[in-house]
Amino acid sequence: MSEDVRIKVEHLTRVEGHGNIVLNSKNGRVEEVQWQVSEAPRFFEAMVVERDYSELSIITSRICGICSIAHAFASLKATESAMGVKISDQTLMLRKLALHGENIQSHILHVGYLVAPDLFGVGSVFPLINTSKEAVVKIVKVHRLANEMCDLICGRTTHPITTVVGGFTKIPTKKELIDLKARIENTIKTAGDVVDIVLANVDKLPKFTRETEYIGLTCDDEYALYDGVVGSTDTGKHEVNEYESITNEWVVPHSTAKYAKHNRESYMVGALARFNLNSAKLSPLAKEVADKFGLKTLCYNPFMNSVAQLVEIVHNMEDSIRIIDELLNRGLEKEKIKIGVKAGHGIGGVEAPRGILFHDYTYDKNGKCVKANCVIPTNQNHANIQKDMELLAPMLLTNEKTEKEIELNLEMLVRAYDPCISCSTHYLNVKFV
Amino acid sequence: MSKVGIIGVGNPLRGDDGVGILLMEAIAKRKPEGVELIDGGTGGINLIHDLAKFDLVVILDAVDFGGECGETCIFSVDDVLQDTGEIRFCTHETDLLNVIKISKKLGESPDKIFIFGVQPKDFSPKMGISRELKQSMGRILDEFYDKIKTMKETSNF
Repeated sequence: MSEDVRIKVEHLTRVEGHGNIVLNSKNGRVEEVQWQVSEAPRFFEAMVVERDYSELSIITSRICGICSIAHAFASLKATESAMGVKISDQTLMLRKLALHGENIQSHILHVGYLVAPDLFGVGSVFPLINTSKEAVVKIVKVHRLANEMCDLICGRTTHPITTVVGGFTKIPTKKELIDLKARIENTIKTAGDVVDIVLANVDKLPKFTRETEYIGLTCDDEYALYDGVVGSTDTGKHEVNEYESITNEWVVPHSTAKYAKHNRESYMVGALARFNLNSAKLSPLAKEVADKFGLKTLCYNPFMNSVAQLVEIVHNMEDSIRIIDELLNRGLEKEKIKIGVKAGHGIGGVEAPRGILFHDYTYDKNGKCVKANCVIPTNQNHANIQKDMELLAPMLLTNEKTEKEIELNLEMLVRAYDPCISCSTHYLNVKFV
Repeated sequence: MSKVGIIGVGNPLRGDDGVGILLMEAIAKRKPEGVELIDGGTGGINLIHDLAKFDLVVILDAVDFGGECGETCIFSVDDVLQDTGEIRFCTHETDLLNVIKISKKLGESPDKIFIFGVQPKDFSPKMGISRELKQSMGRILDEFYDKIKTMKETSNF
């Protein structure tokens, strides 16, 4: 279109937190295009200083109301690494199971409630209930199962209370795990129905590609979510302890959240990054879902992040059944936790639903935190969103789109990243001259 | 036997907005038999899963109905639920009535939902309710039991 465009989406809806989209063009040329994060910083890293090691995972899990389990686990891993605490195989399996639950919970919330309205051409999930009630019923069923999984393993749907340094204060019973397994088996079919519903509308996702770097955990023996080294599609493998040389955080004037860059001017984390790095390790059914969508590595279309999330939901369910079987075969055991408090420094990296997450703590000899740093997935995606927008906006302007269509496409781009904006806003340490 | 739930909602970090949670904690000390109590926190979409468990739900919340601070009211959702058309939806901005609306449309909402509301005074960011509300908590609790009793007697329950 040749007309001048003035788009200002102040507080984009159907994302977590507050961000704005600005596009100004004159005579068909982009003058300004920006992804602005306007959410207030939240000071968590300062909040935990001088707090006891046993409190950190409880406090930092509050960074997010959606990926609180991933925050708790990154926190526990950092503390356990600092104090030389080894966890049992049973604890490891239960943590992996909880992380699967949270991944399903977060992804179905995103794909089902936040993205689906765009695919069905409606403004929100509310009109969707009127027009596609059956679809929403299935989405809610998957969401409910995920909530029950988190509830059972972590003692609460969000903000876990049973997970502590070294293990669990309460573990599920054999019967509870058998029931959970049956419910997962019963819901896999429903997840497949959700896949088919999205598949029928997938042509609504823009066919846009921009080559970028993808970063996430990777390991040889499984689709990495809880453990692994840091993988990059550009530079290969790196140790988690080198995370600062990967994230390279920096600040820009228009954002309260930091940006990150590694081998290029930006990189992407999240389900699509994990798929691009680890798709060969997906469960059989999840691979079938990827094939249905024609999703192959390396996929450079950020809009396909939502599809990668659907693939992961099925993987999470299938792998959960495997973990439950293994736990039941081994037999559950109430384990004693003993921590030798000491000074130390530890870094924990896990895959949160939105991508790789790092917690980095230093403790004094009494187990009090003296320094903390958290690098959040959405932080790492902001620069990539900005760079995508800089390429997408001129394309939209030359494609005879109306201003409303351009606005919707830019909104859908941000939404595809499933940004958790509140989590990503950081304390800015400034010194004035 | 019908399943009855009492769900306290609100944000204890926003002054009087936390009164629903405080009330729920107080009711827990004199819990009516056969009733499940739930701390619904700041609500959000997850409440649809809690609502689906029950046949009858009483939600405790701070409600600005233009009364005096500490004044109480009990009402059915149908008394206030209006179709406002397009509703903005964010994970942090799903209000209680919208959640109930989704639950009803999905056909899994309890047969009856009542809201026991307490008129707040101060929603500013701080922990703890205002002095006026704190002083009225005993009376508010009595009014809760009275109103529930009256509703039972008039078969509204």
